[in-house]
Amino acid sequence: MSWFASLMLQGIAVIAVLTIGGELLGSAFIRDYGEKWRYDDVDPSIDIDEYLASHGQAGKK
Amino acid sequence: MSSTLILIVVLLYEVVSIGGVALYLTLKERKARKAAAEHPADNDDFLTAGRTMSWPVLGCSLALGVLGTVKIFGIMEQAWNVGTLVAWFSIATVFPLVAISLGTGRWARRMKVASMPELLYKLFGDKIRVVCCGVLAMQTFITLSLETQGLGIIFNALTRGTLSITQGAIVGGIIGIAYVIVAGMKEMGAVNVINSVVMYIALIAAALCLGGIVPGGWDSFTEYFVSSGQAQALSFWGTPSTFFAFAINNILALTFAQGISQMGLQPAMAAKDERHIKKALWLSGPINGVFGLLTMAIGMVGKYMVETGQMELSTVNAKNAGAMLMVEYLPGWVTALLLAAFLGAILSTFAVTSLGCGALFTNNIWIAKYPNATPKQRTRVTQVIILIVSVISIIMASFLPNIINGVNWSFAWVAPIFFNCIFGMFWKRSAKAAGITFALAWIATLVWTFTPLPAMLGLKGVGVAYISIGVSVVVGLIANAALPGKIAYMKGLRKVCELEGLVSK
Repeated sequence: MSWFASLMLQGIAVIAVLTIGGELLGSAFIRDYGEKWRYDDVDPSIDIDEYLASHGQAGKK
Repeated sequence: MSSTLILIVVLLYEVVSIGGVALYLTLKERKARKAAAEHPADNDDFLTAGRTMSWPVLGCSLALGVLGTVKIFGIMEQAWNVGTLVAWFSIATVFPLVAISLGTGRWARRMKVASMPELLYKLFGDKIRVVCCGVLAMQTFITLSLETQGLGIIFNALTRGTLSITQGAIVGGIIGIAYVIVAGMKEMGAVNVINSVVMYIALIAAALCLGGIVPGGWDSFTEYFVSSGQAQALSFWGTPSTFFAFAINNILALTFAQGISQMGLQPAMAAKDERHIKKALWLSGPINGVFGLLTMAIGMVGKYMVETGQMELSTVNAKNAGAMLMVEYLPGWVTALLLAAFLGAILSTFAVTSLGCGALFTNNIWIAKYPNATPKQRTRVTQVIILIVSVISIIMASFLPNIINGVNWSFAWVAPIFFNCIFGMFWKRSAKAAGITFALAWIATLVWTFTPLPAMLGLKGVGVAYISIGVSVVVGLIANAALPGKIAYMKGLRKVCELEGLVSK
C-alpha cells in the first residue's frame, strides 16, 4: 500500500472513531436537549440570582 | 489552463457564490418582511442569524469556521518541519468540534448569548468579562492575522509570485473586509454550504491527481525520504516523544481553546436548538478532520519536489511550496476548483474571526457606554470595528509568523476560560476563584514562553498548552473548593424553569 493510501486510511479511521464515538457518547449520556427543562422559553434578560432570591431560593453555593 | 484564467475563475467563483447568496437571502428576507410586516433585523440577527441555523448549515459553518489558513497553509508549512505527524493537527480539530456539539456549544445556546464575554458576564460578572474580553480579542485577532497571511499565500500562488505574500494579503484582506461587511452569520452559513461541496469535489479530484504528479510515483517519494535519513517524516504516529510534543499538545490546546472560543461557538449560538448542535457533529467532524490529511499530503509532496530539485521557483519556501505545487502541477481545472474553495474557506474564517472581534467590542464595551443604542447603530459599530481590525491584521500578516506555532500560543491563553466556564456552569460561580485561576494560568504561560525555565527544568519539549491547562485545573479546583460562590448557572437555570412551570412531564 502506498504512503498516501495508508495515511488516508489511518486518518479517516481515527476521525470516524472520534465522530461516531462522540455521537454515541452524546446519545448515551446526554438526554437533556431542552425538552424536559424548556430553557428556550426562559426570558434571557432574567438575572437568575435576583430571580431565585425573589422566590426565596438560596442563591449561594 | 493559464494562471490568469485560473485567477479569473477563482475570483468569479467568489463573486458568484458570495454575491449570489447575499442577493438570494436579501430578496427572500424582503419578501418575508413584506408579507408578515415584521420588525427590522437587529444586531443579534447579524451575529446569530436569528437563531435559525439547522444542523446541515450549522455543521458546515462549525467545520469551516475553524478551518482556514491554519488547516490549509499552516499544515502544508509544518509538514515541511514535522512530516506526516502534522496530520494530527487536523485530527486535533475534531476534538473541539466534539466538545462543542456535546457540551460547550449546547450550553452557550442554552444561555442565549451572542458572544463569549456575555457568557462570562452571566457566570462571573463584569470584571471577569472585561478581562476575558481582552484575551479573547487577542486570540481572535491572532487568528485573523494568520487568516490574512493565508489570503496572501493564495494570491501569491495565483499570480505565480508576481504578487508577494504581503501584497497578496492586502488584496485578500480588502476582499475579506468587503465580504464580512455586507454579510452576517446567515449569509456566511449559506456560503459555507456551497464551499463545503466545492471543496470536497476539488479535494477528491486533487487526491486522485496527486499520485500522478509525483515523479516516479509514491514509491520514489517514499524511497527519497528513507534514503535521505527522513524516514520518520513518513510516519503517521511519529515517535512517542514527537507524538507527545506535537499531537497530544495540539489535541489539548485545540480542545480547550477552540471548544470555548468565540469563533468556535459563534455558529452554535446561532443554532435552531440544542438537538441541531449535537447532530451537526456528523458533518463538522469529517468535513474538518479529513481536510487536513490532504493539505498535509500536498505539503509533503511540495517538500519532496523542492528538495529533489524538481520544483525550482526562486520564491518557493516552506510557506508557499504547497500552493505553488497546486498552481504548477495539478490540472488547471483542479487547481481553480481547489484554490477557489480554499479561498472561500479562508474568507469564511476571516469573516467569522473579524465578526467575532466586532461582536466582542460592540456587545461588551461599546454597549456599556451606549446602552440605549438602536440595533442599527450596534450593527454599524460592529462593521466599523471589523474594518479596523481587518486593516491591522493586514499589517500584522506582513511579518509572516509561523502559522501553527502562532495559533498554538494564542490557544494557551484561552484554555483557562474553558475550565472556569465548566466550574461556573456546573459547580459554583466564584469570581474570585476564577480571577485567581486566570491570573496564575496566564502568568505561567508568559513565564514558560519568555524565560529559560523550561530549559532549566529539562522540559523544553513540553508545550505551553500543558502548562496553561495544568495550572488552570489545579488552581481552579483548589480556589473553587476554598472560596464561596453563587449557585452554578445551569442548576440555577433549571430552578428558574421549575419555578416558571417550564418543565415538561
